[in-house]
Amino acid sequence: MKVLLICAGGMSTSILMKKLEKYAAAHEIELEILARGMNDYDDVYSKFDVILLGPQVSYQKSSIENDTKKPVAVIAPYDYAVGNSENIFKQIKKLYPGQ
Amino acid sequence: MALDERTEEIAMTIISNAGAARGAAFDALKAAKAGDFQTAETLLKSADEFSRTAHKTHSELLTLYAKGAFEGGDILLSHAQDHLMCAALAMELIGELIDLRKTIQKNTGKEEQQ
Repeated sequence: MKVLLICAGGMSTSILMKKLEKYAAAHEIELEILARGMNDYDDVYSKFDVILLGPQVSYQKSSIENDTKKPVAVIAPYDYAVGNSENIFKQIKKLYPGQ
Repeated sequence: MALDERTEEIAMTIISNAGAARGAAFDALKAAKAGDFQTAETLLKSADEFSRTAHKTHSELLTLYAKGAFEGGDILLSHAQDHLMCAALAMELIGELIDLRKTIQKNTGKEEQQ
């Protein structure tokens, strides 16, 4: 599955990205993942299946949905803080049941 | 837990809670724009709770720093503080904006009655 993470500047999602990559490798999940900032996803989003947002940009959800026409969800603050990969993968599967 | 793991967890906790506070504040503003002040109030309260968690975690960080547990200068931590300040400012300003909208609505209501 191809997942795009978006937060304000792409910094905290980069940290989350590393945790999700580690989890995917350990659980043999095929994963292509990228972290980008709010102003920096235009050129890449079309390649991804789903978009996950950091809680700090939750209020941009509908505008990102309109922009990208992709399934978008906001990661819960607690899952985001501790990098709860299991919950986040559950969320991805809900968004993209084909996987 | 190693200190760098602990500081990363602290930073991520601040970022996500400050972020959620800011998000809820903007949603409150959206509700107020639509004239739904009750929802706006509930969302501001939820912003306040997230912000409290962020500030509590931030205090924990400052305590660690005061104890000399680390030297500071970590880019992720300063990024987290950036989020915290952004959320604080958003909440303060949005609270004012919502009050302003309430006053305007009250006054236009009065004018219509006259």
